[in-house]
Amino acid sequence: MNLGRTVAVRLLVFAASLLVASAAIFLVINALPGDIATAILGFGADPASVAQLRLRLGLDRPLVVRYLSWVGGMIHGDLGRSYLTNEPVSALVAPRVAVTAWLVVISMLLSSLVALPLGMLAAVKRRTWQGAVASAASQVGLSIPAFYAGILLVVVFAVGLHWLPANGYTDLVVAGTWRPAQFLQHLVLPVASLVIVQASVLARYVRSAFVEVLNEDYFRTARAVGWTRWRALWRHGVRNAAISVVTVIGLQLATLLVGAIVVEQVFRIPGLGTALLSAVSNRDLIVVQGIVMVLVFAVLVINLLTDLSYLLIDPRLRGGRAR
Amino acid sequence: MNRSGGDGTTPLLQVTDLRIEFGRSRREVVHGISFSLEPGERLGLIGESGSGKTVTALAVMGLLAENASVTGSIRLAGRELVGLGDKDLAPLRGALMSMVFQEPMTALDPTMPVGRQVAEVLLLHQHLPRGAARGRVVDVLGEVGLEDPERVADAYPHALSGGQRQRVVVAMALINRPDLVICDEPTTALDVTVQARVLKLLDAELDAVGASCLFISHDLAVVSQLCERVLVMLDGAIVEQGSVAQVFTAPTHPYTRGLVATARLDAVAPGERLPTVEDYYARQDRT
Amino acid sequence: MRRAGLWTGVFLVALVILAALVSLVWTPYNPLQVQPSQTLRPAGWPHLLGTDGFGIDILSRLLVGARTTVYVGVVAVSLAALGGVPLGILAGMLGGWVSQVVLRVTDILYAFPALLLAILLAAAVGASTTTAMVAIGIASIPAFARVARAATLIVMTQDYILAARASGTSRWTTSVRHVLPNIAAVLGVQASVSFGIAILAEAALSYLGLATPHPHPPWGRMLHDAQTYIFSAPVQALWPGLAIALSVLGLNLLGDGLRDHLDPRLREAA
Repeated sequence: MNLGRTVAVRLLVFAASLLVASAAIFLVINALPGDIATAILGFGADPASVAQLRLRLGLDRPLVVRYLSWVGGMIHGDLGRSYLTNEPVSALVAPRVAVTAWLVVISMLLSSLVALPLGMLAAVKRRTWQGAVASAASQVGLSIPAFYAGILLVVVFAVGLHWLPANGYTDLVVAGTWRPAQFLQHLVLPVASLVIVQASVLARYVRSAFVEVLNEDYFRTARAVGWTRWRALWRHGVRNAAISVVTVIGLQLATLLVGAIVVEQVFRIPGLGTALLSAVSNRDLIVVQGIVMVLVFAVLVINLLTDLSYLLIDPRLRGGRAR
Repeated sequence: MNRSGGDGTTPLLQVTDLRIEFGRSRREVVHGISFSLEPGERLGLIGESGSGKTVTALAVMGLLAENASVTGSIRLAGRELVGLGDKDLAPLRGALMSMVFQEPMTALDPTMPVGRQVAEVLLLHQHLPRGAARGRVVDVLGEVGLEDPERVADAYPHALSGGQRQRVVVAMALINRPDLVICDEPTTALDVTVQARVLKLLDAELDAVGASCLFISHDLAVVSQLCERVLVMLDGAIVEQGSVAQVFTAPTHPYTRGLVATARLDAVAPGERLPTVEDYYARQDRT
Repeated sequence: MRRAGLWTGVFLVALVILAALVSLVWTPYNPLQVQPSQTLRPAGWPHLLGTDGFGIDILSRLLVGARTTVYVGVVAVSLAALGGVPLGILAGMLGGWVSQVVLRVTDILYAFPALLLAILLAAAVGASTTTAMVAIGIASIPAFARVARAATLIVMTQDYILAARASGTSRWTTSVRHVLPNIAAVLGVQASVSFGIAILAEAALSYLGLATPHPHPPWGRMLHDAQTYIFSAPVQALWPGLAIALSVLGLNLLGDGLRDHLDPRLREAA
């Protein structure tokens, strides 16, 4: 299989997944028991206004037609309009995507920065007390729910020490002026609560990936030609371990995205999660449908990029003989 | 060909009362063995798997796992290696002593072109401009009998055959002209026809570089092609040593007699049962 | 060392189950009784862990909350296993396009993390413990399917399977009599891990108010309530979170411990 074909297959799978996922979301919202208009207005609503809403939402059309028009709109960036405010969903979502993206991307970078050395240490020193301590720390870290970590951090650093704000969010640029200090101040605790969990999960995978490398013959070869243990690990271990670690980082980005939804609530951050949950409690189903689709799209894109990044790391997949 | 050991000179490798233990239980797997290797000499180390021969080789290289403890003395060119840390040993490995491993399919980093892996060994121990390193690598790959060395240098390991990979490993072991090359069953994993060619290559290259060789094998026939002296190892102890001719014609230890009989199947009359080592040496400690 | 982990896991999991059982017959105080004169008491006597904003004994609420944790976990993991294991075994035994389809379907399901699926279901049919359990269960199907498939592939290469197939045993009989028992241990590890994930997801959902089974609020909801008093009674938030974390820690240690006892070949699948 050559490189071009591999990429084409991956893209095709991505497109198919997107289609199936969007159909699933649409069916859950539109085909589950209970009419969408009744759901929005509540069960006690009078039949006349339900009928009026059905007409306005175009519910008189067949399911397939409605699905296709929804998908067609999305291709042009149109996610429909909120029932409550009549605002386009895309206009509601766009500024919030940035907020959540900051949270997720910064958390992922920091988690990797913490987890890589921690996992490597746990692998190299796995037979000594340092390794045991590193493993135990990550075991504990991954048992803590991110929102609990968030609350504890607030108790210590906001309520107890008054070092940082307990909640809230400031944009990086407000009315044309840069506010990096306030921006970071508000992100420290939410990011920290996500990092505690993510770094622990990641560190465990990094550890097992490196333990595998340490047992490989080529690692022994590298030491036999004159690398010290640590430099051999850096030179020949990182790339090989990266093959499995990258998968985990990809999968973890998805869980991080979900974790961010909850952590946004702890810190009252106006991100995508907050928008989604308020749409759920307002029964604004068109908005719910749109935001869930955006989140699932993000997860699928991350999976695609993870898949494609293997091709860069692992020469065995790049053509020539397959593994 | 000069295969005689240097009389009266100090040995290149002097191992004295070497003991190796593993783990918290301190299980001893090598029980105080001693031997020496003269400059330019080739010494065979024979024994079955689990006899401690590979562990001995790894102890000389300083590549044992962290939970191993080594006592006794290993002197390389007069320098004591036992007790040296990873940082002190690393500069010696690949330069003064090097190793060819058993399994060529996994001995090379799958994510790096082999030329770069060979160049790395060169650049690690000698200060050379990158361009010069590349030329030297291609030369050496040619010397170890690889056809089209330019193309091989840019290939990833998965694109090469087992024999080709083992030649690359040999190139890595010899490129810095080390004084001591340890070969750990270098041909066991290869096809029989490839085996013979790689052995011939090793023979020629060791001569060209003038290196001593500690050659580990379970196969007396292979050792006799390359070495002039043999140690026989059994359960972590050396039970017999001498010249190849001596061990072959007049083995003293029953285990060695068994080895010789199984290595000389041409001496078995047609129709007779093939000999096994157990016919000569019954293990007491097998439980 | 490793054994200590396994036994710690067994101990913690047993503790949670015991708490749930004990709460059925006895709690120190009535977990539903609002006592306006007893609000926000610090830990001590007679309220060992203090009282919450309604004057309800926190220890009693924790014990009752364990019921929800065990209930949601058991139902969600059973759902996931019932959905995922047959799929995985089928894919592992038949291979070919069946295997490809199962893998693709699990891939797509992976794009719907439990929490997102639960939010979607809550929006469509209303938030309740049932929607939470169903969502968590469905979201955990792919993990079971993959593990069952990987383990089946390993088992299928064993001689006893070949012997059974060669002697004319049908596929169905082979899978029930030979494959399932041999991959059961691996599935046990996965169940333990999935149980922990289910507890985390349920806690998050009830924290968000998307799984509220009144009258007994689960631990996640207790955390949410405690957050209201974070400035006046910060210690309150400690207990429910600790209960969640220790349950998950127990299940993870149990899973790891079981994995270490497994046959090394099957360990790869777990």
